[in-house]
Amino acid sequence: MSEPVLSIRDLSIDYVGLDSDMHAVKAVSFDIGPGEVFGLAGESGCGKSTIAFAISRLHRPPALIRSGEIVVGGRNVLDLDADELRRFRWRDVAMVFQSAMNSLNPVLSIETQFYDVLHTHAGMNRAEARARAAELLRLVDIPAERLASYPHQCSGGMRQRIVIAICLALNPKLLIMDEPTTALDVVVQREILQRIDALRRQFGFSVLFITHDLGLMAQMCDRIGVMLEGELVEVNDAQSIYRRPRHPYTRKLWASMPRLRGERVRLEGGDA
Amino acid sequence: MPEALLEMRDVSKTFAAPGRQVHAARSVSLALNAGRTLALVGESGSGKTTCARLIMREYAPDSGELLFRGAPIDASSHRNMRAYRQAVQMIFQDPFASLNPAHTIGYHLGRPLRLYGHGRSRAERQAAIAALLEQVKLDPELVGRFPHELSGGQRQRISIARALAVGPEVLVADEPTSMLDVSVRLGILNLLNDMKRGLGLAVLYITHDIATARYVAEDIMVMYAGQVVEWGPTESVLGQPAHPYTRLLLSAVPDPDRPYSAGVGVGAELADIDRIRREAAAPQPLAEEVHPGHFVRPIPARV
Repeated sequence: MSEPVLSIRDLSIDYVGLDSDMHAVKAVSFDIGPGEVFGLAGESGCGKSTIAFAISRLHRPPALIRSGEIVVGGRNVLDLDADELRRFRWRDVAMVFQSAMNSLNPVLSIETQFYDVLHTHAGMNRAEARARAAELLRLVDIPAERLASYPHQCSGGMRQRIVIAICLALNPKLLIMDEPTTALDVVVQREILQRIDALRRQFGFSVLFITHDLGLMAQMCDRIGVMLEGELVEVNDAQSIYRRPRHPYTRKLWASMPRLRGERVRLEGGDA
Repeated sequence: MPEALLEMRDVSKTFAAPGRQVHAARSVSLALNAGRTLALVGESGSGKTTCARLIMREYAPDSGELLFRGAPIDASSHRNMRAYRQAVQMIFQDPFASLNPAHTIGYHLGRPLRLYGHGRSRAERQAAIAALLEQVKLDPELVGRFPHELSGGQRQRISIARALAVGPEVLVADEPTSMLDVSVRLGILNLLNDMKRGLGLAVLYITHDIATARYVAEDIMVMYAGQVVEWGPTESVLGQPAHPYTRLLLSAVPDPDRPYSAGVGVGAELADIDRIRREAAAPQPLAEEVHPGHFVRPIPARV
């Protein structure tokens, strides 16, 4: 296998408290290969988003990285200084947040938001940025006229696609998507994820995909890691996680999902 | 067919938006029966929540009528409306926003009991609260806690207990599990199923998650652009979907058996999303029975 795009080694992250620390991530290790879609599954509070934030060094106190390495392109992200970090973000790793559609600035036009990124990180002028932005919007099936729009004039699905287009602006090696479609309907979700899948095949970037929807994850990902209370309890290729889950927790997650086909039976679990 | 508990007959509701009219409900008819769940599925903006609000009398219909026990609701009579509100209760989507952060769980459950005269004395009410908590499988010790001390799933159980406090006959649940984790979600769905069977409640379950709809509902209605485009017994509609929009919705449901990488590509429906949406939004006045009790509104032939 060629060199991984992202390599996480023994990563431990605590949320520091007054009396005791909450161990959010416990000695987690995994790799993401070039062009691979890796899924991190688990329920609220299992540490999956904490890892996502740590990869772009977006974690803030009280989160504290106790130990471990996050290696992207041969460099440990944890060693980067402020200048290096600025160059690293967007260019090496770009991140789509859970409520990304609300992470656009409401008082700036879509064009200006593209310009922000393209000017700061690639030194483009207005005209260059506009041309590049139009090209990026085409990738996510949005007409270039939308550049003049403001976020509130676009639907939720459209805003989410705009955020994805901005994330692709500098051809990142890794796209992190933290519950990117949770707030969207199934049809829109499907459109967006299928588009991401096509784009990663076209451009070869890798994806770290985070969601609690295992069904969606098995459909989208090449490999999946399942997290439980800060630990990575099972890692395997997506179809094995689906057809032959080994860890009891993975089995429990599958068992608690109502299905669209097959026998209608009462599923157990989920009691308070 | 027994008489429906609650019925919407040809109900329409139009909102004025700048420069256009939004038809949030177009001649919607539905019936809720005791001991049965009807699922209303569709994407955001399809009019599902408008239906819930029409039933809750938060909106008045522009045309059509609401029947409760076969009779139109007389909104001018305070006594009638009080009885209606007692009989028809709602569970909201967001368990974090639907409880008052300044009040205890005991207050949330005690208030409806007091207002509707269940349990006149304090001791009676306390016993009733404990029984309600038990009914939704929560520890009676939670009574003195505040909403922020509870998990999302626990809060949603409190919402259900609050709805049950007044002894309702109809529950309207608007996306009650969409903000919960998968394993917690199942607990709430099981609880809804238990309430339906144990208390003979009529449930309207509103969702965009078709798999959960199948888990709780005997009947299903698919809504798009304010119209119910297909309806009938859940297994029939999901097993033999006849409307292109229903098929589109079904093909978009996450399915681990069809990984993107297997190159199955997009289904015929997904490749044609825009056309299907456009056609499904056009008025479809006719209804056709394709299987017993399973109806579809055919898209009018293009002229």
